Amino acid sequence: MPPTTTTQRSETVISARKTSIERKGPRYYTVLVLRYVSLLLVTVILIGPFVMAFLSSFKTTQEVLAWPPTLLPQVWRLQNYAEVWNALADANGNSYFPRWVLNSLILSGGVTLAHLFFCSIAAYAFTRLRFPGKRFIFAAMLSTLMIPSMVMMIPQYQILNSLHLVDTFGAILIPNLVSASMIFLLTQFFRTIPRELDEAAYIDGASIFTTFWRVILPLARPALATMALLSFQGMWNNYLGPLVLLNTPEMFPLTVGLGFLKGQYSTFYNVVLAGSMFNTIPMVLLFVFFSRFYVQGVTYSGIK
Amino acid sequence: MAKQAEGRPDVPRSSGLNRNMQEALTGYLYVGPWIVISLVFTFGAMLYVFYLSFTDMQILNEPKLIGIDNYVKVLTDRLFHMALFNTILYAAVVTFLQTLLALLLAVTLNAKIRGKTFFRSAWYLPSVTSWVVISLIFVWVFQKEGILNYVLVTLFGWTGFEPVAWLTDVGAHTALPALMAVSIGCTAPIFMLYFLAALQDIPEEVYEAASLDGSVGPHRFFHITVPMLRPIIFLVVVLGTIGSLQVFDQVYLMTNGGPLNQTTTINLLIYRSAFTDHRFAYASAMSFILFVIILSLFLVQNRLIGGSNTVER
Repeated sequence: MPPTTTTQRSETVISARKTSIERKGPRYYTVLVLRYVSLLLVTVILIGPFVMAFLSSFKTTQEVLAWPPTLLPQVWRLQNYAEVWNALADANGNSYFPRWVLNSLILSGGVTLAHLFFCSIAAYAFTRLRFPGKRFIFAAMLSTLMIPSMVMMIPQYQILNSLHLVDTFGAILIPNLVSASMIFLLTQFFRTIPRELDEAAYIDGASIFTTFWRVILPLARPALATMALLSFQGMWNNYLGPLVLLNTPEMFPLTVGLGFLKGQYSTFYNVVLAGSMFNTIPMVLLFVFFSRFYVQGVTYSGIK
Repeated sequence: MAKQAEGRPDVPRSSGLNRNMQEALTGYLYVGPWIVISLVFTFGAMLYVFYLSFTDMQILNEPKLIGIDNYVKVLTDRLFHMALFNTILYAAVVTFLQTLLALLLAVTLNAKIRGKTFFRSAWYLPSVTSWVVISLIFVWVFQKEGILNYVLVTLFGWTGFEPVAWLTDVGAHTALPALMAVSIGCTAPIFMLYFLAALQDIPEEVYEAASLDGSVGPHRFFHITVPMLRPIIFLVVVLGTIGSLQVFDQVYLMTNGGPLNQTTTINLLIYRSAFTDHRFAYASAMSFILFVIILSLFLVQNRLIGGSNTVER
């Protein structure tokens, strides 16, 4: 792998720097230049394809496949975005694409709201309340993180089918109302909140729910923000569940819709890439604006 | 953790319920939603898939028990052998290289450099992108007339390098490595964040003491940094293994198992058997085998690199 060798080099570069840092001779500057060149090289390898895809989403169908490829579009063709918006339509002429965007928003928003409530009360119970079997239930919850999602698709399909929920949003929302990994993430954070705070409220006679609602939740805002971002992103980018459980194009979220679009528009890469940007750019913007919460998420858990 | 009853006075409630009892009931109520959902959709589902694997279930028929027939069929199916081989090779290479890359990226960023935040954010960007979009982009990148070939011809054309159709060339056997490379590049930055967080927890004094003992450069990396990071390496290896054994989206969208099943993985085979061919029982048997593989690899890894409690970290 090219990235590996580049970073290996920069690793030795960094340790070499320690010795030369005091006397800033020519060697110091060579090392400095080499280090930033390798950092930029890694950056190009890791995100170059994504930048190229973004730029190419404005090219013409011919230019997106041109050899040699162009970096910037010769003509910025913004119509690609309008074209994908109206690319596929149902029998009544209603375009699918806006539906897919809306469906993705509904599903991701719904799951996020459900997680904010159900995962935080569960995490509160696991960290603050005493009840028999708590350790066992917590361990059982962690063990579910190891079960492959595909293994559960077959029985989930059967169960949801017998409840007549296949091809409805219920099929996606109900199994995802609570998430073991998100409960785990919140318990990690709740454990860092000093117990004295809620015990004081408790002694003052506040009910268990009031303690949770008025003391813990306000203190847990950063963790809740982290969880909300991860939940939203997880559902927004989810593919397998909707692929299996939703059948009609009107019900698709954007991910499944894009896979469908690729089948129909396989030769129009500019349009497919423009469609992809509707899926990617919102997540990139969330990340750019709230990146500290993503980094925090890692600190509090170890789960994507 | 569970037993911290001392020092917390029992305030009698007007409801007449004693506070401990009330607390326990509230506890069950709050954990209740997870218990109910997981009893149906996780534990119930696991039991159901185990049961189905011993039946003749197709899609809508009444399942009838037929013993271990499905397991015999799966384990003697040549396609399953290929998928098993591909999956294990994929998981081994991806887990190893992405852990290594994540570690190297983290160590690089942990040094005193300018623009640390910029590089960290830029490298992380593929991780917020869905596999669907990554797949659509890389199908285009990996074409015979794609930008990867253009870059390689420009750089290495003098060695006689010829453009390859990375995802579809049967003879070149490049499809699986191409899928691996994409996964490594797009997943390593997530694990890099784990390592970065852990590296910042290593006290400066440890490095100072090490440098007094003459431990610098690669020696310091392998004898100080790596052992200090052992719990987090374990976590990253376990999560990487579990994730890569389940690879589906990219395979389904980029190659759909081709060319000639060179990239068919177990998950793709399960999906096809269940949702294209409607052989639910057969797919259930495969699912259960995959689950057993993941579980046993976890136990082996726990033995080899894990300490206790690292997952609960």
